[in-house]
Amino acid sequence: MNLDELFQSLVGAAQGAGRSLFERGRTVLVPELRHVAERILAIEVGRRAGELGEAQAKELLTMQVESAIDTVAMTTELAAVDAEKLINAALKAVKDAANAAVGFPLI
Amino acid sequence: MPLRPTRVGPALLAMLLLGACAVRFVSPYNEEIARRAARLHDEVITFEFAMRRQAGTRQGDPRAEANRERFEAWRASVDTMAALSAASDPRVVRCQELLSRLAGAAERIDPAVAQGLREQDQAADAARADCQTFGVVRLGQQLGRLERLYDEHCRVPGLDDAAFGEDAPRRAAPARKLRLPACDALFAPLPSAAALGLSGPHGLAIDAVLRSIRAVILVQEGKRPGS
Repeated sequence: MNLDELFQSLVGAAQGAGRSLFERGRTVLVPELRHVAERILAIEVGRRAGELGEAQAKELLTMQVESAIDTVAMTTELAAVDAEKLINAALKAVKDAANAAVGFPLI
Repeated sequence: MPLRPTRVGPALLAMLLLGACAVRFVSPYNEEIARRAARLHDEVITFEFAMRRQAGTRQGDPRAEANRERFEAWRASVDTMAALSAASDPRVVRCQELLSRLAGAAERIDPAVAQGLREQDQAADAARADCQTFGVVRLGQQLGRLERLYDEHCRVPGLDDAAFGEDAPRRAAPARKLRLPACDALFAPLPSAAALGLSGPHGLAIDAVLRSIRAVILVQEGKRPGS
């Protein structure tokens, strides 16, 4: 078994998953939270302009916050998808290296 | 050299992991959930556009049969999505626990979101589910909020419940479209916010529901084979 090759396979898998997680934060979570911040401001502006009553503004605010939590939950689910991919890629790298080392499909 | 008892567990775990050659933390891609979420997204936007025309009329009143049926159909579809999601949940991740831990980090970004993360109902079935099922159940709750707001703000004044019975004569409808500003605020951007560039193309209630639906779509896209 070539330790360097195995190590590089594992590192490659980890880097891929790490990039993916970072990308999800950058492309999904951050824009969504900005979006929520804008809508919360919109509710406040509408309330001050008299377009929304106090109670309705509160209800709409609740909906915005809830949708932000949904996005956080789903980003968490996607992070679990990424972690699953990372571990499975690492397991495959170990399996391929072990099978190559013994010369037959051991695992 | 025989393995010491304290090393048996990790060694066994490693063998199991390698033997299985794959782990599963989350449910797989589900085409039916993806299809239902996309259709729901479509229908909510269509409903919004219809309400911009119909708010203040008999047709746009939440007591009208077509509108009651619309929300019933949505509720049924989301319940089915939740059942499909729960059926394939590998029960590894408990979303509620994760979100509670995230609340501390969220405090620095948005205190309202952090508070919301802490206040999730710990006793609910969804609290023991993975984040996909949790999200779908919460989507149903968002639709419930939309339905309550719609019912509260979009009833046409002067029309009693009898006007919406099967035998109600159509002449019971008002002769012209009444203006209902609180109802309009659900289905169209607020003029004051739009003037400041703080508003997207949707009303604030619809905007929130659509984002909850998109979260489900996003997860399915992330799980789609080959993504």
